[in-house]
Amino acid sequence: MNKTNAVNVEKKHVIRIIIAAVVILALLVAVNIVVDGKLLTMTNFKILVASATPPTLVAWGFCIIFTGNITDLSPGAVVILAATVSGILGNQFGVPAMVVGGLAAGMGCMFLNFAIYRITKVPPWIAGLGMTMVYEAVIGYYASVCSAKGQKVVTLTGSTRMLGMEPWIYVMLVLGFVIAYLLYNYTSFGIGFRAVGDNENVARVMGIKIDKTLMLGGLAAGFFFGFAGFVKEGYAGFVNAQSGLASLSTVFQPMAAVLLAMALSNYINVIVAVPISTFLIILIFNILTLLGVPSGTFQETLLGLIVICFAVLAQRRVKGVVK
Amino acid sequence: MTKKVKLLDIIPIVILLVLVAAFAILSKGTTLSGYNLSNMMVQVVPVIIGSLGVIFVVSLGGTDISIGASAAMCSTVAALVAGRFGSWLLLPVTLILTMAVGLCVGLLVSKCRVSSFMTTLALLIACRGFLNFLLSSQVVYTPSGLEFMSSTGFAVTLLVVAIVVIFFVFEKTKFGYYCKCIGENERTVRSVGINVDRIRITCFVLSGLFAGIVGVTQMCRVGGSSQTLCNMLEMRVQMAIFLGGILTTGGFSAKLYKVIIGSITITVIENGLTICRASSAVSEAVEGILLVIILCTTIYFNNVSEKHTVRLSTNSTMDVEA
Amino acid sequence: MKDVILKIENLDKSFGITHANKNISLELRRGEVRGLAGENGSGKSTLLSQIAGIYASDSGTMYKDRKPYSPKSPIDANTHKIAMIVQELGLVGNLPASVNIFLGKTGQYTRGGMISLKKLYGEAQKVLERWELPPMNFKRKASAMNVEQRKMIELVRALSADPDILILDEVTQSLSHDNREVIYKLIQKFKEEGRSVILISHDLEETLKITDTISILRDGELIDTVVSSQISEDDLKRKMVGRELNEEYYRVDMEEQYEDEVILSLKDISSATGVSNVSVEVHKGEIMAFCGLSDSGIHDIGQLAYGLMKPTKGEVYLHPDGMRITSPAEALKHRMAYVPKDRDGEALLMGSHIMNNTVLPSTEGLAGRLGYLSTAKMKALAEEARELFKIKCTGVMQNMGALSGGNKQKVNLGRWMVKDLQVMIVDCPTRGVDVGVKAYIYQCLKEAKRKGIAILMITDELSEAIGMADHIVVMKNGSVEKKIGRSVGFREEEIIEVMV
Repeated sequence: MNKTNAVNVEKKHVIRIIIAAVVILALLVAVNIVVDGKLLTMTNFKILVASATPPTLVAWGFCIIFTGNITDLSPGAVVILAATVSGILGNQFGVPAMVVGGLAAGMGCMFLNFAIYRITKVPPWIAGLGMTMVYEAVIGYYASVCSAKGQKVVTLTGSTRMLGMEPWIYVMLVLGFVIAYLLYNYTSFGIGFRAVGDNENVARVMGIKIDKTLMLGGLAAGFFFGFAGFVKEGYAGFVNAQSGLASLSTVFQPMAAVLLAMALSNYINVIVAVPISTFLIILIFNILTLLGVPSGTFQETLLGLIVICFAVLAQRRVKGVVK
Repeated sequence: MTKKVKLLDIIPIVILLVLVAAFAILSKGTTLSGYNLSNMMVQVVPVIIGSLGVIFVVSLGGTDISIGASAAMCSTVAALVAGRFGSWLLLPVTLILTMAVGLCVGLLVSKCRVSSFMTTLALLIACRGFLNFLLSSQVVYTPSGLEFMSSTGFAVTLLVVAIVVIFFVFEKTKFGYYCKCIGENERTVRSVGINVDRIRITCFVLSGLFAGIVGVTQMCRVGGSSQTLCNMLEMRVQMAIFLGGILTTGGFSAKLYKVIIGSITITVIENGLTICRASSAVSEAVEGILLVIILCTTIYFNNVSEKHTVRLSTNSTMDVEA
Repeated sequence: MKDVILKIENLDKSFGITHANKNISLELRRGEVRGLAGENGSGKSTLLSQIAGIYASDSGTMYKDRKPYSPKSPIDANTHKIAMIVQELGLVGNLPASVNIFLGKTGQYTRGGMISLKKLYGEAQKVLERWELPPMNFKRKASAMNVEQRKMIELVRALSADPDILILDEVTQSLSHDNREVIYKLIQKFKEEGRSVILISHDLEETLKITDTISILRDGELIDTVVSSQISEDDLKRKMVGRELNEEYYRVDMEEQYEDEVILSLKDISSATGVSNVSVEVHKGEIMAFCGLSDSGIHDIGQLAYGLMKPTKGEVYLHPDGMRITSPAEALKHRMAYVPKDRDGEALLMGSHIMNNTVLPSTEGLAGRLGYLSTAKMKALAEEARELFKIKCTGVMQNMGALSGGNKQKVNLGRWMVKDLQVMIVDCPTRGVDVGVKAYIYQCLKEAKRKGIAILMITDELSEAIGMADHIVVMKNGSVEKKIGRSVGFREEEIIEVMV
């Protein structure tokens, strides 16, 4: 009897997903008519997928730190830092150095962050704010040196940008997906990390080394932020330095995506849900732009509100004390 | 035992004195000049007033980092309204709007169980976005007739009144007591039968109220709205509260005097860094590192004193389940 | 005589000043099914946890198959073929059942860094077949399963270690009839294969039926080990309690004694947590005790009565004030009190001092104009409670963390009893305190009863309910199974029979 129940529940989930997909499609078609068919074109979709790639990579990184029950918003600065490092190395030594540099910067920063929460016991969200300021300052310092020389912060040119251009950017997306999916679902680390985040007590009793697992988690998240860093550098050709915590807002799209993906995680695997929700969010902003909503100002307002909505969705079943 | 506990309370004061001395030496006395001191006075007022509201939220164990953005956005909207219907509207409209924002945060945190950090951060982005949207098409000036609000005398009077009122509410009433109890253990307060949600919402509204006051006074001082109005106010207030030695978990470690000391400390740091001609990047890095170090110290000394208290007792027990 | 599989010598364990186990020695043979019996707090679970590697022992040695055995963790115990289903340890909710089963042991199913989930499913399935267990869905997340399914997954987790000794701590109480039969059959198979089982069960009848021998613990000491077929349930109980249930400790009268006026009534209450259609009336000066297994809903009754949990149906009525209680704020205002079960986690502010803890329920009364709270008044109230309840401390400004369990509980009760109450709801009031404080708390409850307070006592200690209550309400699966009056004479076995 339990089994048939389970099957019914799963069936219900499938039906719900199909309904959601149909509703979204219908909406898209409707919007498409409003914006004179500028939305549902192959070129537009290709552009959207490419622009969704860096935030999707960031979102997978967020997915990992949220799984570890940690709130840290410094990844915005980490991504910019990784992009800057990869840009410098890319210009001097070519694409392989760019990849290595980006990954190393991302992993180094996140390792440092995780070490700080573990050692100092400062709550991650606030330690993350402190570290954001530090990372922003590092990039800001470099940017001021550059601008003194009359240069723009690390501009990539020519073939070094290939990883952020078609068709390589799609390869990067697929590669990121494969790594995230396997890491999260099929490795001892992934499983151990999820156990620690969900129920540290059980994990400890089951012989999982908490500290080591968490530090590895930091490295894994850092890997994705570094990944996003060099892809972004390639995609845009440059990444602006930010100061005064402005880098926080650069991760709002991926964060909204992760929150949505977590709300969906009872229906689909979170790692699969991340690119879907990132794409949806990019799509929403594309539609807003097509509808003539000014970008950067009013769209920011909507982004903030969307984050709150998705956070409410993701917290729906959470009980207990929330500060 | 008592000595250890006091140590935790003394550290912020020591930090402040050390910083004042350090900057005085580094700047060869410039920081202590009369001109600079009055300058600092002007800088410290908005931080203290802003933190008078946020201290309620922090004592609950939460945080509010939307105040700067909310103050800027709401006062700008209010200036537009006041420009149309009369200058006197500036203050009431701002306060109503900021309190409404606080109310929304309170409802989201207590009813929808979204963490206050996430909610207020999202609101920060949203409010800043809306402010920039408003300013992208027009220039907003402070309505005329409110110049008196920009005078130093007014600022000091306001500050004194606000401190006295909040001292009473936060330290001497049941409301303040409940706030701190919730920070210590929310489940306890709930199980006794106190309406925790209502208190939490009130705290966020208060935080909004003081954000509104800062918004109006700053706008009157500057003469109009800009994209940088009340910029980083929330971070200054956050730093002030933690520099003062209040734990991030809130509770009875939250004391009004600590916030005032912390506000002065953050002002000394920022002012000192500017006078020593540190670049903005260096200032930001210094502040970030200081934030982590100071929190770490507070937490460390709090744990030391707690362990010490427990060790004093010979008969502390653990519950043993059958 | 068969081989000794596990030998324990002088095992000792303390938590702070609580001496949980005192020099316990016992032997377990191959193919033996051993039960552990004892009252709550007698040290049964602690002993099992020591054997299974969850707690390290303070002193003493264990031998498994004649070799010294000192497990460092449950995983280490597993490698020595000892596996336990722990009462309170659960599963990781966001992982599928199969991964939970092999958590911490996934290394052997990994190839090239990738875990083969297929292999995990296969292995889990093999365990099912090996022990003839009913089919389970190993692909579901643990958080999507109910309590019973999760318990069965935990059973598979224990069996996957291929144990020689299986330890079951209160496993059957959360299982349905069918799955209990599965467990009984499993135990039989263990015996046939020369493997051993150690188990704890609240249900003494069940224990007698399925075990070969029973070790009896009392206050952390091993009293006796008896052969199950040669002892009656009554004798077993007598050995467990070790004293007759009278003394000054509890009430001496054997009559219901209370006034006619109904103070609090629960009318046809149901909750989302499974309480269904509970109706009771508590009179002035009456002690009404709620008994049942921990998942029977007794703890929810306290929360429902105080308005902390919203009922899905029915209402709580406070008669003298002629009103419904729908929120804890109303309950507080109308002179009700609630003492929760989780003292340190839910009742007290552990990081603060005695005064702040004492004042909390009386704040509304103490506050003056504009909500002004005078420190002098607060201090006076705290001093009053301290003297009234003989709280041992250096002063009312002493930190709660420095007090003993008993004194913490005195603060917890005392802060309510300095108030003028009409209703008191106490959930496990004597949990985790020693005998002396226990006696004191019973005195207080008697005093409160004499003053005419209606008392709703929720307890998992039957002797306490029998000793104190005018009426005992026995609950099972969320509904009231039986209500027994004091004058009828409470019989423990009768109550247990209804409970399980």
